[in-house]
Amino acid sequence: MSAVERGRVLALVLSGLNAVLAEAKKTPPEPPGEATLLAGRGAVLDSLGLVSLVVDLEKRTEEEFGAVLTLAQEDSEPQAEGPFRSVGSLTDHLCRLLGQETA
Amino acid sequence: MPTGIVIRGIAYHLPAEGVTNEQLAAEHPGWDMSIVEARAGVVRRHVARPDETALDLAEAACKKLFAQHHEARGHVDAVLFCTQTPDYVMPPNGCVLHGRLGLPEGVFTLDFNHGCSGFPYGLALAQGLALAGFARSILLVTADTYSKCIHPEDRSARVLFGDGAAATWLAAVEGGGGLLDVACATAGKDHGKFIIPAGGCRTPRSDETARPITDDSQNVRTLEHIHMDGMGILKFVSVRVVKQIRAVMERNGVGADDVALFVFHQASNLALDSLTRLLRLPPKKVYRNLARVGNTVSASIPIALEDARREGRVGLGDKVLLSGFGVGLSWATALVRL
Repeated sequence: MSAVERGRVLALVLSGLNAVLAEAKKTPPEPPGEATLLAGRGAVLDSLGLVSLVVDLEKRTEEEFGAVLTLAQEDSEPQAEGPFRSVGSLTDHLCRLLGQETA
Repeated sequence: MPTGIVIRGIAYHLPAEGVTNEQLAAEHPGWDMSIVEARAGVVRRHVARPDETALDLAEAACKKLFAQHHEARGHVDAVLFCTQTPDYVMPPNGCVLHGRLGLPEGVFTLDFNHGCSGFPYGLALAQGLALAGFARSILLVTADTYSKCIHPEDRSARVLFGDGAAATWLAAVEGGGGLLDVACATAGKDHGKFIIPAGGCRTPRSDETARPITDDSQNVRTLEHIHMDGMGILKFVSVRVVKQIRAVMERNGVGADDVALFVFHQASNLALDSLTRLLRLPPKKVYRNLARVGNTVSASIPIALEDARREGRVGLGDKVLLSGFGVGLSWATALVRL
């Protein structure tokens, strides 16, 4: 995937994150970016917010890319948060699932 | 000889006390209930009194069932009781219920410890008893009071679960049957994703297990309370449950158009949304009642099925697909003709 296309996926993730934060009436100290933590200590989302983001992103991915996919793969990395640790790792995970290589 | 079973009737009973999101918000000003309502989908859940147990709720449900189907009482020859919140470690709830209902001594009773997959698992057990000639008239009781296992400061679980009991009367029939197919599955390696870690023989209760722990999301619980890995459960639902439902539909040559209603375990709006989207189902064909009762664990599917019947969403002869999933991890899908 080219940097531009990865940028498209990143924009999708950020847009989903901002929607969930708005719904939860949460304002993070800094505007969300690649390094923003989504799970674990220091995360901007609680457990319900993270699950909500994942389900929302699946829906947005279908609308944006026409791909029906499951972000919460059972074979995803063994560590607790896996690909959901940060905006950047989630973007990479989504790129992988879309069947393309990240830049 | 019987060739199958049919559902003759369902009755359910909920505790009188309903707890609304407004009440929870008043009790916990820090809890934002708007996102909970949208995502979990629960507006009100019923909570048992401290002296009210799953057995009490089950007895009330059975009495309602007998009142609606007088012929059932005198013919029950098996009681299957699914619960994870029994009155005692021993004896089993099914035996105590048998006594309370005044059933005859020749009745087969069996408790089984399953959560949200309990109803379709119970249908499979009942079909087995009927086909083996052990029983012709089976009372399948599914009842739980998870509220007793949830820390009051655990928002993630407290907003979701409600207490309740359902009693389903199943009868053996010859020349057909209403349970067209059922698939049951287990992923025991993942049992830790949904667990009460302490209080059993493995880790008895102690001062240590009673110590409150606050997680990254500010939910508080002890080792004696329900621990649920939300993301782990979502993965399980999105992958394994979807795969099983597809398999049951495919092997029966059934498409969404052939099914009058999909009655899934009322886990949460998030779970139901995922199932609907991944299975490409028309949303109007996926029943939801969790707004008013919450996630009632093993009672959830029969309560939903009975509500759907009362609302005229399903009727005699309709084909419905039921799927339950949860603790174990365990999941089961049944194709049923009403």
